[in-house]
Amino acid sequence: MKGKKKDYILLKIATILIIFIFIFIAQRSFDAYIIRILNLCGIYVILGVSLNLINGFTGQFSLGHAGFMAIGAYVSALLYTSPEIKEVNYFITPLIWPLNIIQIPFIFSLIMAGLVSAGVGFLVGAPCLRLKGDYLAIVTFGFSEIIRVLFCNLQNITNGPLGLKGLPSYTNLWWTWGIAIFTVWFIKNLINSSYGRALKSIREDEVAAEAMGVKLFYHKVLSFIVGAFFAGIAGALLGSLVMTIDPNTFSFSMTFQIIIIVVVGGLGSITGTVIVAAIFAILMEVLRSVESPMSLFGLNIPGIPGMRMLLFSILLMIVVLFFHQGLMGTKEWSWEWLYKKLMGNKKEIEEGS
Amino acid sequence: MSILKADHITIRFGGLTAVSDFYLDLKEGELVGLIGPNGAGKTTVFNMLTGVYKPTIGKIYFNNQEINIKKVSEITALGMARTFQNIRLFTNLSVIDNVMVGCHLRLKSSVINAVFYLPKYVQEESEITEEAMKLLKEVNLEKLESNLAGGLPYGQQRKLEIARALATRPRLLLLDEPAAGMNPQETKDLMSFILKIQEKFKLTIILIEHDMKVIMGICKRILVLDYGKTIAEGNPIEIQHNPEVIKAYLGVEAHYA
Amino acid sequence: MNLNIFLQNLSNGISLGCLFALIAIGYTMVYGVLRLINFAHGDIFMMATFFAYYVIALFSLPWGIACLVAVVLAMLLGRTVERIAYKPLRNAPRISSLCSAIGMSFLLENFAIVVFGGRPKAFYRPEFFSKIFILGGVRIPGVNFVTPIVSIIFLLILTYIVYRTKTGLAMRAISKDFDTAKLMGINLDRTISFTFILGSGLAAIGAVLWALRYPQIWPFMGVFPGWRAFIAAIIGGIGSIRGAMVGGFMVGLLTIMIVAFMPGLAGYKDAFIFIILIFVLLFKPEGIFGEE
Repeated sequence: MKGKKKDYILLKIATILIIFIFIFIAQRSFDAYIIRILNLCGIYVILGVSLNLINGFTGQFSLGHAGFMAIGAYVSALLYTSPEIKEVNYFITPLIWPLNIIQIPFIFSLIMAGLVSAGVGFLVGAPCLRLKGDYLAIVTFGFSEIIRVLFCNLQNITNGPLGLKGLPSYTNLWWTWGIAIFTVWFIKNLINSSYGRALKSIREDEVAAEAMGVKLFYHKVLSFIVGAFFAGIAGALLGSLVMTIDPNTFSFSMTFQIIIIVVVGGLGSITGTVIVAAIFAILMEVLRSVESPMSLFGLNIPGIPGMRMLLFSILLMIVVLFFHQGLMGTKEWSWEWLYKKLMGNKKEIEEGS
Repeated sequence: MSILKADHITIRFGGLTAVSDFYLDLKEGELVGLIGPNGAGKTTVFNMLTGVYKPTIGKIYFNNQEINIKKVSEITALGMARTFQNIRLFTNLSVIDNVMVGCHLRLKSSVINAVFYLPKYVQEESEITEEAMKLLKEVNLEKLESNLAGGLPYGQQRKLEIARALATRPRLLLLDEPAAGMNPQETKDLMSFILKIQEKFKLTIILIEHDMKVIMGICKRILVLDYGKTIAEGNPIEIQHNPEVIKAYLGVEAHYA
Repeated sequence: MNLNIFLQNLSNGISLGCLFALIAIGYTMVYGVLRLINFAHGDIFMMATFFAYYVIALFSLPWGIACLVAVVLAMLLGRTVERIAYKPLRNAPRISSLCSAIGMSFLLENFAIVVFGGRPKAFYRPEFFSKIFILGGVRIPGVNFVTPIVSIIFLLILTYIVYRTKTGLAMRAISKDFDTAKLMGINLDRTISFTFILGSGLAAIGAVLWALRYPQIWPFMGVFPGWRAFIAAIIGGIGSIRGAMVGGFMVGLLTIMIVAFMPGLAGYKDAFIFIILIFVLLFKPEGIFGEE
């Protein structure tokens, strides 16, 4: 990065093309179940990377990510769903004006989801960021719970505990993977920029960072806003993927899943988060089979519900206790590494990616 | 020209008065030493000057601006930088990243500029990199630029902290025991280094030190603190023969040139 | 609202407050010695009820014995959690301990789901506790008599231990100054273990009394009382045992009174308690009694 920079442009373009083609083929011909898993991979990547920005790179322990997801999910759903479907859903208490007649294209609803979520990220972050470690965690958790309770009760806006059903399915691999790639690119650039250094310095030593002129409030809020923005979009994508929104899905359980991803992947590594997020999404679905009865060697093994999360909890504990660096620690993917692998280390390359 | 004026500042923590009635009128270009037994309140004075603590009584003026009420990062932006008694580097960042953080406060490009690699930001980033490398050369660390700061030997960590502080382009530099843990040769190098950067970067410097060789060697004016009060002020000769100072240090061997 | 209803609610509030106080003490003591929020505390509470349940269900032992066994097992569990999840990370960065605490909490909850099943079970409740006594028009269930009395007894025992015994002194020393306590020759490990054991024991007593009040137990039952008790500890001043008791009472009373006086806002009661928490943390983070 310092001095001469090899851009590996060709390598990058080739990778993008391959992904492009893959999505094209997948969206056409893969089994719906597999497409769903791939979509979830993308969504978890967005969630993981956005949480890692706040918790891993800036060192602010936020437990409120589910709240940002919820906001994004509801905001977008209320915007892209047709008035007819809304009327069907809000049969107990009608939806307030103008939400009951609005309908805008999916992409704008996504942007709004991100913006509103970011706005709330600011509201949550601004007063709380002078709290230290544990207290910030509790307060952000509190906000997440307050949001959940609000959404469970505001019948005329969110339809309360009934949630929203029958949402149109806009989410597909183009959206999820496209946005996931954008998220990774955006946050990676942010981290590698001067602002990213400032964020990391806050994580390392807040007192020293401030003494070197880094504005603590500005930068902490920045990480919250960006993290919330992408979390909101992820929530929106999730809503349209499963076509229902239940306020209770955005509980601490959800935040905890993303924490697992981020901690296991490595709190300071985007690459680690991406890898673990994808694996996590796949495992969550695949391991469902552990929870339903199955036949093994002629024996009927009854399903054990909850086994998935138990295994993940154990995994998290093992990582926290023995591998607290996570999978990647603070190491990142480098195009240089890929280039070397492909070229068989033929050329000596000085600079990193 | 008076660059800093601490106007009879006092700070109390609950019932304890850590520093009382501290007065300093610092002229531009001075190299002042701040000495005193352990616990005398020297670092507390630094913390008040840099904005970490707000004085209970009294005002502080930096470049004729009242800085009592300003935040730490604002004061740094006005041109006051410091190093810490217990080194506070960004251990998991690279050596050069540490220094570049010091340059961040001058960044004009917005976050969007930075994320999308717009030309204005790319230009600024390369300027920052260049400046950081120059500072690393000053402290002979340029070859270790991509090493992790936490992995450096102690002496080099101290030098890195100074380079980082210089990156903020200060007019006033506060050094808190920079010679701690150094051997005699390193100490000598440090002394000439401080004088060199003072000249080169046109700095005013306040230096806290226990090593009397350093203080007596390079400081023209010395303030002595004991139990939070200034008990003496003067040039090295005056201080060495001041009975109050000797009393305060009684039992402690003072080495001076 | 007439006087009778008010007194009924008051009695409920006091009763609930005692329970929160018992649980809150565990949070506050652990925070005092380790500066760690033991997220798993509420789940030890939950496990205690299941211990009691299974002792009765599997061994048909008398109810009283079952509760005793539950308390002892809970104490063991608390100590084990400390050994596994917190001791190895004593010198690690705070985020690791935080993750470990959260992880342990989820581990216990999911363990309970897998082993005990997710469906609520009915806790055996001797008749006295559910019987309603009518005093001058006020209807008070038996459990509302027992709870405050039992709670106060154990709170007094706790106060004695903390303020009159050597181990209690060690606990207080560690919470004032960890490093100096170490240097003074206090056996850190033993004292910390003891803190967990004590806290878990109290939580188990609270758990039994809770189950006698709300005789349905299920793996996530510790979440609600856990967070409320934790918030109570913060309001009272985390690290202060007095604070935990006072905070517990306040939260218990508030929980009942909000629903009683403003039934329309009942759905928001969970949000209220977190709003109070946020206000306290933002404006008076030391809580009522500050740092003990």
